[in-house]
Amino acid sequence: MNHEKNQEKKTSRRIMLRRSGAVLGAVILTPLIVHAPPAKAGSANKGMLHYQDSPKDGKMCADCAAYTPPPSPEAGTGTCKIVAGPVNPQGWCMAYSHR
Amino acid sequence: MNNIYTFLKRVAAIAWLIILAVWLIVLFGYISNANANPLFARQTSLKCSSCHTIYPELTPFGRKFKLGGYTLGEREKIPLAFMAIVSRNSISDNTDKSSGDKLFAKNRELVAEAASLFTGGKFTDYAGGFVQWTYNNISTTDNQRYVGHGALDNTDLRLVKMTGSEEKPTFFGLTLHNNPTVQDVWNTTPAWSFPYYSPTIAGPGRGVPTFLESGARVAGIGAYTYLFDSLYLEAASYQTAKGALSALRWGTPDAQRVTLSGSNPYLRATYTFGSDHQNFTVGASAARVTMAAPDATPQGDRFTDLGFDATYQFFSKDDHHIITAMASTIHEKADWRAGFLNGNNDNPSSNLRSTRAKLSYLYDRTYGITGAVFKLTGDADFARFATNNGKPDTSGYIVELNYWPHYVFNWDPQANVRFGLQYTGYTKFNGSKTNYDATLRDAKDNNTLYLYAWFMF
Repeated sequence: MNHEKNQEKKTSRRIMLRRSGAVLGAVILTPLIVHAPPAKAGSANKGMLHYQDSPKDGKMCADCAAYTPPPSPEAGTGTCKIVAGPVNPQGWCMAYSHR
Repeated sequence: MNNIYTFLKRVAAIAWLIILAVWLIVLFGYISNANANPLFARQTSLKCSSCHTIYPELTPFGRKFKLGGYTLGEREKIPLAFMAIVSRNSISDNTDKSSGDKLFAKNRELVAEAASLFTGGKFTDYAGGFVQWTYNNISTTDNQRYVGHGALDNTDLRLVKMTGSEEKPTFFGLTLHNNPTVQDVWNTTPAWSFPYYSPTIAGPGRGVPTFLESGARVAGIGAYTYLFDSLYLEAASYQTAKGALSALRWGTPDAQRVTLSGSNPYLRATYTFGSDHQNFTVGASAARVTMAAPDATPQGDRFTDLGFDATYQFFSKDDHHIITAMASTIHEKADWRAGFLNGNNDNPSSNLRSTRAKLSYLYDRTYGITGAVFKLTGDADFARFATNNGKPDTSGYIVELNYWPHYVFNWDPQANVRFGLQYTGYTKFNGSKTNYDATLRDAKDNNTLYLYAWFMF
Protein backbone atom coordinates (compact mmCIF):
# COMPACT_ATOMS: atom_id res chain seq x y z
CA MET A 1 0.00 0.00 0.00
CA ASN A 2 2.81 2.36 -0.76
CA HIS A 3 0.95 4.30 -3.37
CA GLU A 4 0.33 7.88 -2.62
CA LYS A 5 -3.09 8.07 -1.10
CA ASN A 6 -4.64 11.43 -1.02
CA GLN A 7 -7.33 12.18 1.42
CA GLU A 8 -10.36 13.63 -0.14
CA LYS A 9 -12.36 16.49 1.20
CA LYS A 10 -14.47 14.97 3.93
CA THR A 11 -18.17 14.47 3.50
CA SER A 12 -19.75 14.35 6.91
CA ARG A 13 -19.74 10.85 8.27
CA ARG A 14 -23.44 11.00 8.99
CA ILE A 15 -24.30 11.94 5.43
CA MET A 16 -22.01 9.29 4.07
CA LEU A 17 -23.43 6.60 6.35
CA ARG A 18 -26.95 7.61 5.49
CA ARG A 19 -26.21 7.65 1.79
CA SER A 20 -24.38 4.35 1.75
CA GLY A 21 -26.97 2.78 4.02
CA ALA A 22 -29.61 3.76 1.51
CA VAL A 23 -27.63 2.24 -1.35
CA LEU A 24 -26.95 -0.97 0.53
CA GLY A 25 -30.57 -1.13 1.59
CA ALA A 26 -31.57 -0.68 -2.01
CA VAL A 27 -29.26 -3.52 -3.04
CA ILE A 28 -30.78 -5.82 -0.46
CA LEU A 29 -34.35 -4.78 -1.15
CA THR A 30 -34.13 -4.73 -4.95
CA PRO A 31 -34.78 -8.45 -5.31
CA LEU A 32 -37.76 -8.22 -2.98
CA ILE A 33 -39.33 -5.34 -4.88
CA VAL A 34 -38.44 -5.91 -8.52
CA HIS A 35 -40.96 -8.26 -10.01
CA ALA A 36 -39.52 -11.14 -12.00
CA PRO A 37 -41.66 -13.92 -13.45
CA PRO A 38 -41.64 -17.01 -11.22
CA ALA A 39 -38.66 -18.71 -12.76
CA LYS A 40 -39.52 -22.39 -12.78
CA ALA A 41 -36.99 -23.13 -15.48
CA GLY A 42 -33.44 -21.89 -15.68
CA SER A 43 -32.17 -19.22 -18.02
CA ALA A 44 -28.81 -20.53 -19.20
CA ASN A 45 -28.14 -21.22 -22.83
CA LYS A 46 -27.75 -25.00 -23.23
CA GLY A 47 -24.69 -24.56 -25.43
CA MET A 48 -22.95 -22.32 -22.89
CA LEU A 49 -23.18 -25.09 -20.28
CA HIS A 50 -22.32 -27.86 -22.78
CA TYR A 51 -25.71 -29.54 -22.26
CA GLN A 52 -26.14 -32.88 -23.99
CA ASP A 53 -29.12 -35.27 -24.12
CA SER A 54 -27.07 -38.23 -22.95
CA PRO A 55 -25.23 -38.97 -19.68
CA LYS A 56 -21.55 -38.18 -19.26
CA ASP A 57 -19.24 -40.48 -17.31
CA GLY A 58 -22.29 -42.01 -15.62
CA LYS A 59 -23.65 -38.61 -14.52
CA MET A 60 -27.12 -37.52 -15.60
CA CYS A 61 -29.66 -34.81 -14.87
CA ALA A 62 -31.97 -37.22 -13.03
CA ASP A 63 -29.33 -37.39 -10.26
CA CYS A 64 -28.59 -33.66 -10.24
CA ALA A 65 -29.63 -31.29 -7.46
CA ALA A 66 -30.89 -28.65 -9.91
CA TYR A 67 -33.19 -31.00 -11.85
CA THR A 68 -36.98 -31.09 -11.40
CA PRO A 69 -38.65 -34.20 -12.80
CA PRO A 70 -41.82 -33.81 -14.94
CA PRO A 71 -45.14 -33.83 -13.03
CA SER A 72 -46.13 -37.10 -14.70
CA PRO A 73 -43.55 -39.72 -15.67
CA GLU A 74 -44.99 -39.94 -19.23
CA ALA A 75 -44.00 -36.34 -19.96
CA GLY A 76 -40.40 -37.45 -20.52
CA THR A 77 -38.52 -34.23 -19.98
CA GLY A 78 -38.22 -32.22 -16.82
CA THR A 79 -36.92 -28.76 -16.05
CA CYS A 80 -33.78 -27.37 -14.47
CA LYS A 81 -33.06 -24.43 -12.20
CA ILE A 82 -30.04 -23.56 -14.32
CA VAL A 83 -30.55 -24.62 -17.94
CA ALA A 84 -33.34 -23.16 -20.05
CA GLY A 85 -35.93 -25.30 -21.80
CA PRO A 86 -36.94 -28.94 -21.45
CA VAL A 87 -34.27 -31.12 -19.89
CA ASN A 88 -33.82 -34.82 -20.49
CA PRO A 89 -33.43 -36.84 -17.25
CA GLN A 90 -30.70 -38.75 -19.11
CA GLY A 91 -28.99 -35.47 -20.05
CA TRP A 92 -25.92 -33.78 -18.60
CA CYS A 93 -24.37 -30.31 -18.38
CA MET A 94 -21.27 -28.79 -16.80
CA ALA A 95 -23.21 -27.51 -13.76
CA TYR A 96 -23.90 -31.12 -12.72
CA SER A 97 -24.03 -31.50 -8.96
CA HIS A 98 -25.04 -34.81 -7.40
CA ARG A 99 -28.16 -34.33 -5.28
CA MET B 1 7.31 -17.99 34.77
CA ASN B 2 7.04 -16.43 31.37
CA ASN B 3 7.71 -19.81 29.76
CA ILE B 4 4.92 -21.43 31.74
CA TYR B 5 2.58 -18.68 30.69
CA THR B 6 3.51 -19.13 27.01
CA PHE B 7 3.16 -22.89 27.35
CA LEU B 8 -0.29 -22.57 28.94
CA LYS B 9 -1.35 -20.18 26.21
CA ARG B 10 -0.28 -22.67 23.56
CA VAL B 11 -2.12 -25.48 25.33
CA ALA B 12 -5.20 -23.29 25.53
CA ALA B 13 -4.99 -22.47 21.83
CA ILE B 14 -4.67 -26.12 20.87
CA ALA B 15 -7.51 -27.03 23.24
CA TRP B 16 -9.68 -24.43 21.58
CA LEU B 17 -8.95 -25.86 18.16
CA ILE B 18 -9.80 -29.38 19.35
CA ILE B 19 -13.03 -28.17 20.95
CA LEU B 20 -13.88 -26.32 17.74
CA ALA B 21 -13.21 -29.38 15.60
CA VAL B 22 -15.25 -31.68 17.86
CA TRP B 23 -18.06 -29.14 17.96
CA LEU B 24 -18.13 -29.01 14.18
CA ILE B 25 -18.09 -32.76 13.75
CA VAL B 26 -20.89 -33.24 16.27
CA LEU B 27 -22.98 -30.39 14.97
CA PHE B 28 -22.55 -30.96 11.27
CA GLY B 29 -23.12 -34.71 11.44
CA TYR B 30 -21.64 -37.14 9.01
CA ILE B 31 -23.89 -36.77 6.01
CA SER B 32 -21.76 -36.67 2.90
CA ASN B 33 -23.32 -33.96 0.79
CA ALA B 34 -21.72 -30.57 1.22
CA ASN B 35 -23.54 -27.69 -0.34
CA ALA B 36 -21.31 -24.73 0.12
CA ASN B 37 -21.13 -21.25 -1.34
CA PRO B 38 -24.20 -20.46 0.61
CA LEU B 39 -26.11 -17.72 -1.14
CA PHE B 40 -25.40 -18.95 -4.66
CA ALA B 41 -25.73 -22.59 -3.60
CA ARG B 42 -29.19 -21.90 -2.20
CA GLN B 43 -30.14 -20.02 -5.35
CA THR B 44 -29.02 -22.79 -7.72
CA SER B 45 -29.56 -25.86 -5.48
CA LEU B 46 -26.02 -26.87 -6.45
CA LYS B 47 -23.18 -27.80 -4.16
CA CYS B 48 -20.44 -25.23 -3.75
CA SER B 49 -18.06 -27.66 -5.42
CA SER B 50 -20.01 -27.16 -8.62
CA CYS B 51 -18.59 -23.62 -8.86
CA HIS B 52 -15.41 -23.96 -6.79
CA THR B 53 -12.38 -26.20 -6.64
CA ILE B 54 -10.93 -24.68 -3.46
CA TYR B 55 -13.07 -21.63 -2.83
CA PRO B 56 -12.89 -18.90 -4.01
CA GLU B 57 -11.16 -20.55 -7.01
CA LEU B 58 -13.71 -21.16 -9.76
CA THR B 59 -14.46 -24.22 -11.86
CA PRO B 60 -15.40 -23.74 -15.54
CA PHE B 61 -19.06 -23.64 -14.50
CA GLY B 62 -18.29 -21.20 -11.67
CA ARG B 63 -16.66 -18.86 -14.17
CA LYS B 64 -19.81 -18.93 -16.29
CA PHE B 65 -22.06 -18.42 -13.30
CA LYS B 66 -20.16 -15.23 -12.55
CA LEU B 67 -19.95 -14.10 -16.19
CA GLY B 68 -23.70 -14.72 -16.29
CA GLY B 69 -24.07 -12.05 -13.63
CA TYR B 70 -24.90 -14.43 -10.75
CA THR B 71 -28.36 -14.79 -12.32
CA LEU B 72 -28.63 -18.56 -12.78
CA GLY B 73 -31.11 -20.27 -10.51
CA GLU B 74 -34.11 -18.98 -8.61
CA ARG B 75 -34.06 -15.71 -6.73
CA GLU B 76 -33.77 -16.13 -2.98
CA LYS B 77 -36.45 -14.46 -0.85
CA ILE B 78 -33.86 -13.37 1.68
CA PRO B 79 -30.56 -13.32 -0.17
CA LEU B 80 -28.08 -13.48 2.69
CA ALA B 81 -25.05 -15.55 3.57
CA PHE B 82 -22.33 -15.32 6.20
CA MET B 83 -18.66 -16.01 6.51
CA ALA B 84 -16.39 -16.14 9.53
CA ILE B 85 -12.69 -16.79 9.84
CA VAL B 86 -10.91 -18.00 12.95
CA SER B 87 -7.15 -18.22 12.71
CA ARG B 88 -3.81 -18.46 14.40
CA ASN B 89 -0.60 -17.17 12.90
CA SER B 90 2.93 -17.72 14.03
CA ILE B 91 5.81 -15.67 12.70
CA SER B 92 9.25 -17.19 12.98
CA ASP B 93 10.84 -14.29 14.86
CA ASN B 94 8.57 -11.80 16.58
CA THR B 95 11.26 -9.52 18.00
CA ASP B 96 12.76 -6.29 16.81
CA LYS B 97 16.41 -7.35 16.98
CA SER B 98 17.66 -3.81 17.51
CA SER B 99 15.49 -3.07 20.53
CA GLY B 100 14.29 -6.49 21.70
CA ASP B 101 10.69 -5.28 21.52
CA LYS B 102 7.87 -7.51 20.42
CA LEU B 103 6.85 -6.68 16.84
CA PHE B 104 3.33 -8.08 16.75
CA ALA B 105 0.81 -8.54 19.51
CA LYS B 106 -1.44 -11.61 19.22
CA ASN B 107 1.22 -13.62 17.42
CA ARG B 108 0.54 -17.31 18.17
CA GLU B 109 -2.91 -16.54 19.52
CA LEU B 110 -6.16 -17.91 18.25
CA VAL B 111 -8.23 -14.97 16.99
CA ALA B 112 -11.67 -14.43 15.53
CA GLU B 113 -10.28 -12.64 12.51
CA ALA B 114 -13.16 -11.45 10.36
CA ALA B 115 -16.81 -11.96 9.63
CA SER B 116 -18.66 -11.14 6.42
CA LEU B 117 -22.23 -10.71 5.39
CA PHE B 118 -23.07 -11.44 1.76
CA THR B 119 -26.06 -10.35 -0.23
CA GLY B 120 -26.90 -10.04 -3.89
CA GLY B 121 -27.32 -13.13 -6.04
CA LYS B 122 -30.01 -13.07 -8.65
CA PHE B 123 -32.10 -9.89 -8.91
CA THR B 124 -33.77 -10.65 -12.25
CA ASP B 125 -32.89 -12.90 -15.18
CA TYR B 126 -30.59 -10.10 -16.37
CA ALA B 127 -29.25 -8.57 -13.18
CA GLY B 128 -27.35 -9.95 -10.24
CA GLY B 129 -24.66 -9.13 -7.77
CA PHE B 130 -22.05 -10.12 -5.26
CA VAL B 131 -22.02 -7.80 -2.26
CA GLN B 132 -19.78 -8.43 0.73
CA TRP B 133 -19.59 -6.43 3.91
CA THR B 134 -16.77 -7.39 6.22
CA TYR B 135 -16.16 -6.77 9.88
CA ASN B 136 -12.43 -7.01 10.38
CA ASN B 137 -11.90 -7.76 14.05
CA ILE B 138 -8.16 -7.19 14.01
CA SER B 139 -7.75 -3.88 12.24
CA THR B 140 -4.52 -2.23 13.36
CA THR B 141 -2.17 0.61 12.58
CA ASP B 142 0.71 -0.29 14.91
CA ASN B 143 0.52 -4.12 15.13
CA GLN B 144 0.11 -3.80 18.89
CA ARG B 145 -3.49 -2.78 19.42
CA TYR B 146 -6.27 -4.32 17.39
CA VAL B 147 -9.74 -2.92 16.93
CA GLY B 148 -12.83 -3.98 15.05
CA HIS B 149 -13.81 -2.18 11.89
CA GLY B 150 -16.59 -2.79 9.37
CA ALA B 151 -16.57 -1.77 5.72
CA LEU B 152 -18.00 -2.70 2.37
CA ASP B 153 -15.76 -5.38 0.92
CA ASN B 154 -15.74 -7.01 -2.54
CA THR B 155 -18.72 -5.81 -4.52
CA ASP B 156 -19.69 -6.57 -8.10
CA LEU B 157 -23.07 -5.70 -9.59
CA ARG B 158 -23.88 -6.89 -13.09
CA LEU B 159 -26.29 -6.60 -15.97
CA VAL B 160 -26.01 -9.46 -18.42
CA LYS B 161 -27.52 -10.65 -21.67
CA MET B 162 -26.95 -14.14 -23.02
CA THR B 163 -27.25 -14.47 -26.79
CA GLY B 164 -26.11 -16.60 -29.68
CA SER B 165 -26.94 -20.04 -30.94
CA GLU B 166 -26.35 -23.16 -28.90
CA GLU B 167 -23.15 -23.70 -30.85
CA LYS B 168 -21.88 -20.14 -30.43
CA PRO B 169 -23.22 -18.89 -27.10
CA THR B 170 -22.13 -15.44 -25.97
CA PHE B 171 -22.44 -13.25 -22.89
CA PHE B 172 -22.59 -9.48 -22.95
CA GLY B 173 -22.39 -7.74 -19.62
CA LEU B 174 -21.83 -4.59 -17.60
CA THR B 175 -20.17 -4.55 -14.21
CA LEU B 176 -20.02 -1.99 -11.42
CA HIS B 177 -17.44 -3.00 -8.83
CA ASN B 178 -15.20 -1.55 -6.14
CA ASN B 179 -11.78 -3.16 -6.48
CA PRO B 180 -9.68 -3.68 -9.62
CA THR B 181 -9.97 -7.27 -10.95
CA VAL B 182 -12.66 -8.29 -8.46
CA GLN B 183 -14.79 -8.82 -11.59
CA ASP B 184 -12.33 -11.31 -13.09
CA VAL B 185 -13.14 -15.04 -13.20
CA TRP B 186 -9.78 -16.76 -13.84
CA ASN B 187 -8.13 -16.55 -10.38
CA THR B 188 -4.93 -15.22 -11.89
CA THR B 189 -5.61 -11.52 -11.42
CA PRO B 190 -4.90 -10.11 -7.97
CA ALA B 191 -8.32 -9.79 -6.32
CA TRP B 192 -9.01 -13.55 -6.33
CA SER B 193 -5.60 -15.13 -6.80
CA PHE B 194 -3.66 -17.51 -4.56
CA PRO B 195 -3.13 -17.34 -1.59
CA TYR B 196 -6.87 -17.11 -1.09
CA TYR B 197 -6.40 -16.21 2.55
CA SER B 198 -3.21 -15.14 4.23
CA PRO B 199 -2.27 -13.96 7.70
CA THR B 200 -3.39 -10.54 8.91
CA ILE B 201 -1.73 -10.60 12.31
CA ALA B 202 2.04 -10.76 11.93
CA GLY B 203 1.54 -11.16 8.21
CA PRO B 204 4.63 -9.82 6.44
CA GLY B 205 2.85 -9.82 3.06
CA ARG B 206 4.50 -10.29 -0.29
CA GLY B 207 6.10 -6.91 -0.83
CA VAL B 208 4.81 -3.61 -2.13
CA PRO B 209 1.88 -4.14 -4.50
CA THR B 210 1.48 -2.89 -8.03
CA PHE B 211 -1.65 -0.83 -8.55
CA LEU B 212 -3.63 -3.83 -9.75
CA GLU B 213 -2.56 -5.76 -6.65
CA SER B 214 -3.24 -2.94 -4.22
CA GLY B 215 -6.91 -3.72 -3.60
CA ALA B 216 -7.61 -0.03 -4.01
CA ARG B 217 -11.17 0.80 -3.01
CA VAL B 218 -12.23 2.61 -6.17
CA ALA B 219 -15.25 2.63 -8.46
CA GLY B 220 -14.96 0.41 -11.52
CA ILE B 221 -17.37 0.47 -14.40
CA GLY B 222 -16.79 -2.09 -17.10
CA ALA B 223 -18.29 -3.75 -20.14
CA TYR B 224 -17.40 -7.28 -21.16
CA THR B 225 -18.23 -10.03 -23.55
CA TYR B 226 -17.51 -13.73 -23.52
CA LEU B 227 -17.63 -14.63 -27.19
CA PHE B 228 -18.39 -18.10 -28.52
CA ASP B 229 -17.59 -19.74 -25.18
CA SER B 230 -13.89 -18.93 -25.53
CA LEU B 231 -12.80 -15.30 -25.93
CA TYR B 232 -13.26 -12.87 -23.07
CA LEU B 233 -12.84 -9.15 -23.71
CA GLU B 234 -13.31 -6.41 -21.15
CA ALA B 235 -12.86 -2.67 -20.98
CA ALA B 236 -13.29 -0.86 -17.69
CA SER B 237 -12.74 2.52 -16.18
CA TYR B 238 -11.56 3.19 -12.63
CA GLN B 239 -12.30 6.38 -10.80
CA THR B 240 -12.58 7.70 -7.29
CA ALA B 241 -15.57 6.24 -5.47
CA LYS B 242 -17.25 9.54 -4.72
CA GLY B 243 -20.64 11.16 -5.18
CA ALA B 244 -23.23 8.59 -6.20
CA LEU B 245 -20.52 5.91 -6.20
CA SER B 246 -19.27 6.69 -2.69
CA ALA B 247 -21.27 3.74 -1.36
CA LEU B 248 -18.70 1.50 -3.04
CA ARG B 249 -16.17 2.52 -0.39
CA TRP B 250 -18.60 2.61 2.47
CA GLY B 251 -16.69 2.32 5.75
CA THR B 252 -13.22 2.46 4.20
CA PRO B 253 -11.08 4.51 6.61
CA ASP B 254 -9.89 7.87 5.24
CA ALA B 255 -6.26 6.79 5.32
CA GLN B 256 -6.99 3.85 3.02
CA ARG B 257 -9.01 5.82 0.51
CA VAL B 258 -7.56 6.20 -2.93
CA THR B 259 -8.28 9.29 -4.96
CA LEU B 260 -7.67 8.96 -8.67
CA SER B 261 -7.49 11.64 -11.30
CA GLY B 262 -10.44 11.33 -13.65
CA SER B 263 -11.25 8.12 -15.42
CA ASN B 264 -8.53 5.49 -15.82
CA PRO B 265 -8.62 2.66 -18.36
CA TYR B 266 -8.32 -1.08 -17.76
CA LEU B 267 -8.33 -3.67 -20.54
CA ARG B 268 -8.49 -7.42 -20.27
CA ALA B 269 -8.52 -10.28 -22.75
CA THR B 270 -8.39 -14.04 -22.20
CA TYR B 271 -8.77 -17.04 -24.45
CA THR B 272 -9.98 -20.36 -23.05
CA PHE B 273 -9.83 -23.69 -24.82
CA GLY B 274 -10.07 -27.37 -23.95
CA SER B 275 -12.72 -29.90 -23.01
CA ASP B 276 -14.98 -30.55 -20.01
CA HIS B 277 -12.10 -32.45 -18.40
CA GLN B 278 -9.30 -30.00 -18.93
CA ASN B 279 -9.00 -26.42 -20.02
CA PHE B 280 -6.32 -23.83 -20.62
CA THR B 281 -6.58 -20.07 -20.44
CA VAL B 282 -4.11 -17.46 -21.59
CA GLY B 283 -4.73 -13.83 -20.86
CA ALA B 284 -3.42 -10.31 -20.67
CA SER B 285 -4.43 -7.21 -18.74
CA ALA B 286 -3.41 -3.58 -18.85
CA ALA B 287 -4.19 -0.52 -16.78
CA ARG B 288 -3.01 3.07 -16.68
CA VAL B 289 -3.97 4.89 -13.53
CA THR B 290 -3.20 8.43 -12.43
CA MET B 291 -3.46 9.43 -8.80
CA ALA B 292 -5.01 12.77 -7.95
CA ALA B 293 -2.36 15.48 -7.83
CA PRO B 294 -1.28 16.44 -4.31
CA ASP B 295 -1.44 20.11 -3.34
CA ALA B 296 0.95 22.38 -5.26
CA THR B 297 1.83 19.66 -7.76
CA PRO B 298 0.50 19.89 -11.30
CA GLN B 299 0.16 16.16 -11.87
CA GLY B 300 -0.28 13.02 -9.80
CA ASP B 301 1.83 9.88 -10.00
CA ARG B 302 0.95 7.55 -12.83
CA PHE B 303 1.08 3.75 -12.85
CA THR B 304 1.07 1.69 -16.03
CA ASP B 305 0.48 -2.00 -15.38
CA LEU B 306 0.78 -4.75 -17.94
CA GLY B 307 -0.04 -8.31 -16.94
CA PHE B 308 0.06 -11.76 -18.50
CA ASP B 309 -1.47 -14.90 -17.07
CA ALA B 310 -2.20 -18.52 -17.82
CA THR B 311 -4.28 -21.24 -16.17
CA TYR B 312 -4.75 -24.97 -16.49
CA GLN B 313 -7.47 -27.10 -14.91
CA PHE B 314 -7.87 -30.87 -14.94
CA PHE B 315 -10.93 -32.77 -13.69
CA SER B 316 -10.70 -36.56 -13.74
CA LYS B 317 -13.60 -38.55 -15.20
CA ASP B 318 -14.23 -40.36 -11.91
CA ASP B 319 -14.39 -36.97 -10.14
CA HIS B 320 -11.74 -37.92 -7.56
CA HIS B 321 -8.88 -35.78 -8.82
CA ILE B 322 -8.63 -32.09 -9.62
CA ILE B 323 -5.44 -30.31 -10.60
CA THR B 324 -5.25 -26.58 -11.15
CA ALA B 325 -2.25 -24.48 -12.12
CA MET B 326 -2.03 -20.72 -12.40
CA ALA B 327 0.74 -18.31 -13.27
CA SER B 328 0.74 -14.56 -13.64
CA THR B 329 3.06 -11.64 -13.92
CA ILE B 330 2.45 -7.90 -13.69
CA HIS B 331 4.96 -5.31 -14.79
CA GLU B 332 4.42 -1.80 -13.49
CA LYS B 333 6.06 1.36 -14.70
CA ALA B 334 5.53 4.18 -12.26
CA ASP B 335 5.95 7.80 -13.33
CA TRP B 336 6.61 9.77 -10.16
CA ARG B 337 5.28 13.03 -11.52
CA ALA B 338 4.48 14.22 -8.01
CA GLY B 339 6.68 11.90 -5.97
CA PHE B 340 9.93 12.91 -7.66
CA LEU B 341 9.17 16.62 -7.25
CA ASN B 342 8.21 16.13 -3.61
CA GLY B 343 11.23 14.01 -2.77
CA ASN B 344 9.23 10.84 -2.16
CA ASN B 345 11.07 9.06 -4.97
CA ASP B 346 14.69 8.96 -6.14
CA ASN B 347 13.94 9.02 -9.85
CA PRO B 348 11.25 10.34 -12.20
CA SER B 349 10.19 6.78 -12.98
CA SER B 350 10.75 3.23 -11.77
CA ASN B 351 9.73 -0.36 -12.50
CA LEU B 352 8.20 -3.12 -10.45
CA ARG B 353 7.52 -6.71 -11.49
CA SER B 354 5.39 -9.16 -9.54
CA THR B 355 5.24 -12.81 -10.57
CA ARG B 356 3.28 -15.64 -8.99
CA ALA B 357 2.62 -19.27 -9.79
CA LYS B 358 0.79 -22.06 -8.01
CA LEU B 359 -0.11 -25.70 -8.47
CA SER B 360 -2.95 -27.37 -6.54
CA TYR B 361 -4.12 -30.92 -6.22
CA LEU B 362 -7.52 -31.69 -4.73
CA TYR B 363 -8.64 -35.21 -3.84
CA ASP B 364 -12.36 -35.98 -3.64
CA ARG B 365 -12.96 -32.22 -3.37
CA THR B 366 -11.96 -32.64 0.28
CA TYR B 367 -8.19 -32.84 0.70
CA GLY B 368 -6.06 -30.24 -1.00
CA ILE B 369 -2.40 -29.37 -1.31
CA THR B 370 -1.02 -26.29 -3.01
CA GLY B 371 2.53 -25.23 -3.72
CA ALA B 372 3.18 -21.65 -4.80
CA VAL B 373 6.02 -19.26 -5.47
CA PHE B 374 6.06 -15.47 -5.56
CA LYS B 375 8.68 -12.99 -6.61
CA LEU B 376 8.67 -9.21 -6.55
CA THR B 377 11.55 -7.26 -8.05
CA GLY B 378 11.97 -3.57 -8.65
CA ASP B 379 14.31 -0.67 -9.16
CA ALA B 380 16.06 0.75 -6.13
CA ASP B 381 14.31 3.78 -4.65
CA PHE B 382 15.67 4.67 -1.22
CA ALA B 383 13.09 7.39 -0.69
CA ARG B 384 10.21 5.00 -1.38
CA PHE B 385 11.44 1.77 0.22
CA ALA B 386 13.09 2.00 3.60
CA THR B 387 15.36 -0.94 2.87
CA ASN B 388 19.11 -1.46 3.12
CA ASN B 389 19.74 -1.54 -0.61
CA GLY B 390 16.77 0.57 -1.63
CA LYS B 391 15.12 -2.34 -3.40
CA PRO B 392 11.70 -3.82 -2.72
CA ASP B 393 12.65 -7.35 -3.82
CA THR B 394 10.64 -9.96 -1.94
CA SER B 395 10.37 -13.60 -2.88
CA GLY B 396 9.43 -16.89 -1.38
CA TYR B 397 7.16 -19.89 -1.47
CA ILE B 398 3.89 -21.07 0.07
CA VAL B 399 2.75 -24.57 0.88
CA GLU B 400 -0.86 -24.95 1.93
CA LEU B 401 -2.81 -27.98 3.07
CA ASN B 402 -6.60 -27.87 2.97
CA TYR B 403 -9.31 -29.99 4.47
CA TRP B 404 -12.84 -29.34 3.33
CA PRO B 405 -15.04 -31.86 5.13
CA HIS B 406 -18.38 -32.79 3.59
CA TYR B 407 -20.56 -32.35 6.60
CA VAL B 408 -24.13 -31.17 6.40
CA PHE B 409 -25.49 -29.10 9.21
CA ASN B 410 -29.07 -30.28 9.89
CA TRP B 411 -30.79 -26.90 9.79
CA ASP B 412 -28.56 -25.36 7.13
CA PRO B 413 -27.35 -27.72 4.40
CA GLN B 414 -25.28 -24.93 2.86
CA ALA B 415 -23.11 -24.43 5.93
CA ASN B 416 -19.57 -25.58 5.46
CA VAL B 417 -16.08 -25.05 6.71
CA ARG B 418 -12.63 -25.33 5.23
CA PHE B 419 -9.45 -25.70 7.24
CA GLY B 420 -6.13 -24.47 5.95
CA LEU B 421 -2.58 -24.86 7.19
CA GLN B 422 -0.32 -22.49 5.28
CA TYR B 423 3.44 -22.14 5.49
CA THR B 424 5.08 -19.12 3.87
CA GLY B 425 8.86 -19.11 3.51
CA TYR B 426 10.84 -16.06 2.43
CA THR B 427 14.05 -16.27 0.46
CA LYS B 428 14.28 -12.50 0.13
CA PHE B 429 12.46 -9.73 1.96
CA ASN B 430 12.59 -5.98 1.31
CA GLY B 431 15.57 -6.29 -0.96
CA SER B 432 17.83 -8.78 0.82
CA LYS B 433 18.17 -12.26 2.21
CA THR B 434 19.90 -11.08 5.38
CA ASN B 435 19.85 -7.90 7.45
CA TYR B 436 17.42 -6.19 5.11
CA ASP B 437 16.53 -3.24 7.33
CA ALA B 438 19.71 -2.70 9.36
CA THR B 439 18.19 -4.33 12.45
CA LEU B 440 19.85 -7.67 11.65
CA ARG B 441 16.49 -9.07 10.63
CA ASP B 442 16.70 -11.77 7.95
CA ALA B 443 14.13 -12.71 5.32
CA LYS B 444 13.53 -16.08 6.96
CA ASP B 445 12.59 -14.40 10.27
CA ASN B 446 9.34 -13.53 8.50
CA ASN B 447 8.38 -17.12 7.73
CA THR B 448 4.88 -17.80 8.96
CA LEU B 449 2.80 -20.83 9.84
CA TYR B 450 -0.85 -19.94 9.54
CA LEU B 451 -3.81 -22.07 10.56
CA TYR B 452 -7.33 -21.01 9.70
CA ALA B 453 -10.90 -22.24 9.71
CA TRP B 454 -13.09 -20.60 7.08
CA PHE B 455 -16.81 -20.92 7.83
CA MET B 456 -19.54 -20.25 5.28
CA PHE B 457 -23.22 -20.44 6.11
